[in-house]
Amino acid sequence: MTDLLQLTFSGLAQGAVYGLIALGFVAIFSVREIVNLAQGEYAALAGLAAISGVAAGLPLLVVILLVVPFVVLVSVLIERVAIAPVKKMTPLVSIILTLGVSTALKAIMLLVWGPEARSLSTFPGQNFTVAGVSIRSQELWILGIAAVLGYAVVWFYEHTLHGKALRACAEQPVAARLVGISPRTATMVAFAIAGLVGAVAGVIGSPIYFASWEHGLTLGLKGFVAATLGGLVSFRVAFIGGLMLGVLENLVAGYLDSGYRDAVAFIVLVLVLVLRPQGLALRGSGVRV
Amino acid sequence: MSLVVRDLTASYEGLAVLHGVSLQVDPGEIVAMVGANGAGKTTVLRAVSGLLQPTGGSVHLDDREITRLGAERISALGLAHVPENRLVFPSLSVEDNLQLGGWNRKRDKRYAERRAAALELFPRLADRIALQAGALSGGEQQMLAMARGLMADPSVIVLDEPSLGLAPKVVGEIVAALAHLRDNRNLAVLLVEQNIRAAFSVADRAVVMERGRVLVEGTVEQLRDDPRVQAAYLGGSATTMPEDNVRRVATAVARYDHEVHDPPAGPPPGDPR
Repeated sequence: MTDLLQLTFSGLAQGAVYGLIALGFVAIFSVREIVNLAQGEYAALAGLAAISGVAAGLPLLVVILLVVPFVVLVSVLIERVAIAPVKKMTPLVSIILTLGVSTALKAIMLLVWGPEARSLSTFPGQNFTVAGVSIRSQELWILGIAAVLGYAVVWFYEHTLHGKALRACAEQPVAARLVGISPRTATMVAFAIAGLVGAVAGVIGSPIYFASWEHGLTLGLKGFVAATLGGLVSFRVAFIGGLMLGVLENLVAGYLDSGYRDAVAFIVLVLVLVLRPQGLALRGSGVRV
Repeated sequence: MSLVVRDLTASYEGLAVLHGVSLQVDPGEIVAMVGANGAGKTTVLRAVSGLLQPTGGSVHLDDREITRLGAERISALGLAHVPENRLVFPSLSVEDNLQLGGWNRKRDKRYAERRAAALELFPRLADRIALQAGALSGGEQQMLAMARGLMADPSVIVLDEPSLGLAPKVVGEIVAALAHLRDNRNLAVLLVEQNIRAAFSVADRAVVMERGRVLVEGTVEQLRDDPRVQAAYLGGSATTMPEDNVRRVATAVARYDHEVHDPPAGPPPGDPR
């Protein structure tokens, strides 16, 4: 029982990181039907940049306040350079393009930070044990920050005029243009949101899950799998999908063999694609938050 | 504001659909545009509102040229386009749809005033203000699409087949609303309609389109019994257009419909905010 609780709890923390990355996929796909495979690189980049910032002697909070806007900027630049010039974007074209971007980012990270994985210093706090379950303070930070940010993203889409404008763009692009919502601006904003959630995922995760130049692709693919649970258009299902995936991975790794950990995401992906390719959400088309 | 269209040409994927269309709509009048399927009526509206980049000619709102602007700019300049099939934002509430209709005017403080005017025009929407737009009936969605267009406080409004698929009673309400906009708010209204009887019941003038050209135009009284109107409406003289050409246009238009959300090529439309 203790094992189960332990595995579930640490799985939730890992899953929260996947969940944030999944939100990034949904943010972009729901506005323009673009699958951004560079999504995971944002987390790797944020983690590595934060590690360098802390190594340079800056306080952690300052580092976070610098790194997150930096990654948001990188994401917007990627949109400007790789996405905006393409006249006829299709999901397939976007996958090929962003795979290229992802590879380029990986190469840059390898050149700048070298091949070894590093970890960021943990956020302040004490680890403790409750009912035999050891809880790392960083895991609480991850869950807390991911919950707040995840809720904020959903709130933005549900309750603000700008969030509703992005949904309008996703649901009826023609009508959105007719009321004056620019699809170009909407795509840029979507990439900014994707950069934000990816960067935060990287910064909060890198103290215990490490950061390296090649870490992003795996993270990105797991976030993608979580996002497909919501058909790539539901923020809530994507985030919860991330949590579930994290727990499932941990249970498989704990009870079966840790070698199977990375296989879990892909088995889930195959099952979703075979059984419910439209995602697990119940309603028809359009963005769900 | 007057809408002035001169020698407008447009094409889908290199296939010319409009061959020099000229028309004018002045404040306080309703101009009906009628013609057979494929005559280019919808294309005129798209080229006017900036959804489609015209290949030639010009579109003016009074003296201001809007020919090369994208739709997201033009809506801020006083032209509202109520599109074919309504295209309301289905998962958003009626209220949200109205609010987004005023996207270009979100900085000014007259939102409540315009909302009240729109709901006065379509009282049914007031009862359904919190419902998701996708849950409304066809007629209510049409009213919402019109109300959404009005939230941008336009001087010119162009409508694409507002009566399509609606019960006669609802068509009557929509026609009455158009007359109200003309008479009480002095709007210039360009109305594309297949329902020629409804269109002629409210319009002041009419333009008959055939194969991408204006075949004839005049007052409704002049045209009501004109055999050319019936012929164009029934597609009679369109038989001179080769069958495969009709199909090619239809395919090109369908493909364009699918991709229309990509901004047009040419000068960047920029952000109207």
